[in-house]
Amino acid sequence: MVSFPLLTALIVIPLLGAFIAFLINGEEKNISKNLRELAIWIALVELFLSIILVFQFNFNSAEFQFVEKINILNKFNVSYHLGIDAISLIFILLTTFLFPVCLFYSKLSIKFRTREFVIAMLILEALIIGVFCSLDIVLFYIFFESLLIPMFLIIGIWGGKNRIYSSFKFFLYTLAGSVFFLIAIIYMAYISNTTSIPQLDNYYFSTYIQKWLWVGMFLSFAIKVPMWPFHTWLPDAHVEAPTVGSMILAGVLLKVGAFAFLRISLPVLPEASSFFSSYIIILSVIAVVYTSLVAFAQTDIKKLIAYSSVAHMGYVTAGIFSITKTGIQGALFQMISHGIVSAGLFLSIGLLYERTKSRIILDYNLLIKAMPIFSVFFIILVLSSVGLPGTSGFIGELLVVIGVFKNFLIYGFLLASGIILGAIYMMSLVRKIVFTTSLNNSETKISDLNYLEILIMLLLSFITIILGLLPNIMLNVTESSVTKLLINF
Amino acid sequence: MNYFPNLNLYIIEVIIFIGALLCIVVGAFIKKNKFNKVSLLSLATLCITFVLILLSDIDNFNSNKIFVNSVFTNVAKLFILGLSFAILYVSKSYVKNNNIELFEYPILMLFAVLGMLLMVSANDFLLLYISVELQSLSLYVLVALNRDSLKSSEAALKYFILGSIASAIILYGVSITYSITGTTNYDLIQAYDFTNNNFLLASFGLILILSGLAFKLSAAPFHMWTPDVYEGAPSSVTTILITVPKIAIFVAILKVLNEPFINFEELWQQIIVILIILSMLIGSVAALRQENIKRLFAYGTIANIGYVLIGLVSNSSEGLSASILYLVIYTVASLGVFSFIMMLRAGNTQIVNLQGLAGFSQLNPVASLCIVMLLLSMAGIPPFAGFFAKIYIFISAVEAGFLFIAIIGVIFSVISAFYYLKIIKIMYMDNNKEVPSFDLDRKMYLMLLFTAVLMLLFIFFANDFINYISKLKI
Repeated sequence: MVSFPLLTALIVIPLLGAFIAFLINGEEKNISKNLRELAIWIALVELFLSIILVFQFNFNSAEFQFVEKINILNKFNVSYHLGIDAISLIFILLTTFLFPVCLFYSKLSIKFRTREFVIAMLILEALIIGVFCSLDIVLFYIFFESLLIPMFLIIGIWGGKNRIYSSFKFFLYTLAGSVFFLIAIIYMAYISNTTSIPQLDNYYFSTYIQKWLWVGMFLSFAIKVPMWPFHTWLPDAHVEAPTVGSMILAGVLLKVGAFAFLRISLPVLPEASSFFSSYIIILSVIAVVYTSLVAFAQTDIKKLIAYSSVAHMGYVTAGIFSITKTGIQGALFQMISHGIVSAGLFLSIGLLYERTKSRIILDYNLLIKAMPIFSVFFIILVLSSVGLPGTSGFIGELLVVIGVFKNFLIYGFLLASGIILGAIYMMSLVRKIVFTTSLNNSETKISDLNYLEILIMLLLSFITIILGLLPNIMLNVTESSVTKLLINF
Repeated sequence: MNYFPNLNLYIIEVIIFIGALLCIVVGAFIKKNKFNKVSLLSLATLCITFVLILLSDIDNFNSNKIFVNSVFTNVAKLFILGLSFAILYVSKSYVKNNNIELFEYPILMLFAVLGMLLMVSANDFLLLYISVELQSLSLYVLVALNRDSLKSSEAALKYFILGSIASAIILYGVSITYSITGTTNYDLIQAYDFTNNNFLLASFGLILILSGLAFKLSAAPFHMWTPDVYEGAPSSVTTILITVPKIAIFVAILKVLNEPFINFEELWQQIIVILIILSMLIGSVAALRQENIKRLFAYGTIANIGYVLIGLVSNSSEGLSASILYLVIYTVASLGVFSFIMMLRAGNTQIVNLQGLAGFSQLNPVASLCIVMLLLSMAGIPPFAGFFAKIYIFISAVEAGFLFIAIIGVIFSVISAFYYLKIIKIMYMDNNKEVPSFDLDRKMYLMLLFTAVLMLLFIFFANDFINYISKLKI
């Protein structure tokens, strides 16, 4: 039976939407309204399709499902090869969930060049989903790399003052990493004569070659994640990106790099992965501790959150390269949790920025009086970000630390200390902007959230709490896939 | 007696020659509307020859001693004719707008095309030399087409002097080879048994010929003329320079290296490796700070020629088809970009400065989207055609054991991505308070649209196209 190609539909529908958006014509005012509605509807259709995907997904199997395969190049049998396992499934869900949220919010924030914005967002969604479901390494690269174009435009056109510098840094930095990935792909295909990921999983590369291939890929993925010391593009990109851009960047794009580690580095190059694992853990520990300290020194709220993202992604890479089931489960959980929480935090900053046009911590005080509703949501998100038990952040960090403890005792200890450091800078942020009155400033007068904003914030906080209270809904889903991932170790 | 042995073999060239002569007669004797009539006639000539090649048995391999037709040369000729037709057709309004409406323009173009067609088929060094000269002389005059412009004349003079030296070097190389082998025919030289005594002298000949041809291809370090000439020449002529001759000369180099000098493979591989690295280096680094669009793309060409040569150095049939693929995609993209450059008229002046593009996307969203696709394709970003071209080039390098070239290549491709992005940035992100309204010419607009769509949709017919190229038996 030929089943309906759901994954292709997930990729093609936003592209079609982008094409329609390109064609929409009419009066200036109506156009932007229609465009936004079109984008929101497309994103909702995507969400709906991904929910169908969940219902049709067989959770007992660790094999790739919904596989589609069409040959596109004879050379090395490069093919349009899609398929998902539970790990990709949760990322697809995260993507299709965050996009409608962002688009709803963009109704309020993006005020010019709506057409280009909608097109860029829809293409971005298609490409991100493409990354998560491709099973061919060249196809993976194509999606992985084309992501840069819409993101470059989003940062560069709708960003803040220093947007051009940031967008160039973002593009060139990531491109520089990716080209080594390309060389690694070519070399891998040249040796094994295939580009299909399931086939590469079973192919044995000699240890020496594995190490080189691994290093080539590592550069690319580490820049995308980003890991310390390759993280310097991230604060710039985040600070200058429009709120929607930051939400997508922190929420989904950062996960692409970590996902690539899980999909390619671990299963295809197991020996090199265990060889390099201790180095990665060291880098991750440095990332967690160092960026937490840097975050503490920030005066710009958005930059602070951006550095906290690097720290949180440090847990993710540490969890992945602990090469234990607990660690990887924790890393996955942390990624989803961070996707929701950081999107929420960037959204909060965006909400504040729109009202006061300032991102400086000192410009805010006693928000609890001016914006009580906002403050509640903000605090929930912050608590989740620092890993308070009962929120999603706690489960992720806990599992990662346990996983790392199993193999690397000292690093596990250092990593755990990062949780406290995280609490220090995040809580002091809350104290400074929500609770205290600084001497020079009188009470800030800002309007509180409107209904749409409340709805979005409510949704995000609700999910973090649900995931925190019932972590098994996600952990059970990914269990079999993670077990399969570790089969070579 | 048969005075025209095997006329079928070079009927195409003869027709072009007759067409060009007819154009001269028409141009000399008709008083009104000279330019229109001559260009119509030359378009017709190109069209007829194009159809003739299509109708003739393309697969037929046919040769006499100095002139060879094979599938590959026929397809190359088709491509050259098609491109020249497109350029001539598209550039008409550019020529009119800039008051260089001289009827010599299409005629010289026809002669240049004649030279290129001969070059593609040449199987003898003398024919090669003559065709290179015919092409170059026509191009020298074309560069000087805008007689009133100081820059144009200066460019032409530079091109002429340096170009003649390069031609002389080729001729010197040919004579050295002749002094050893006693022949100029490719097949005979290939069969000649070089001994240790004359190997050194023969390599000297090879190096001279290769340097001359590399000059015509504008590969570094023989690139010095390129930026000045491209900038000085009228944009329509730059469009010709950047696309058609590159194909013809690349085919010529390919044949010279693989037929007469195949025994010297190890030697010329080293030379080409140096050409590649220098071209990529100079092309991508020097382009970074250019403000003039044409100059920027001149350096871009140098860098891209570096990538094209990578396929040549691996010297397998796969490597060569990768080169041809790259060259085809690159020239088509350049055609799109240059029709964009020709199109840029605000008020009554042609815009050649990058800053003049600021805010371009606000009024012309479709055109700027197209140019973005073309530029990203040139930068080798997936999913555009340029990405496939680059990946095939790198695959061929890795397979031939030149991993380091592939690594250097990707590094420079990141550097060159910067200046392509710079153009996009100026169009999309620099806000210009008074955006000049551009009057966009329809033909050029269509060409831009067409090439951009090709770059985007290439992914769907990549496989068939690549299979076709690899079947050409290069």
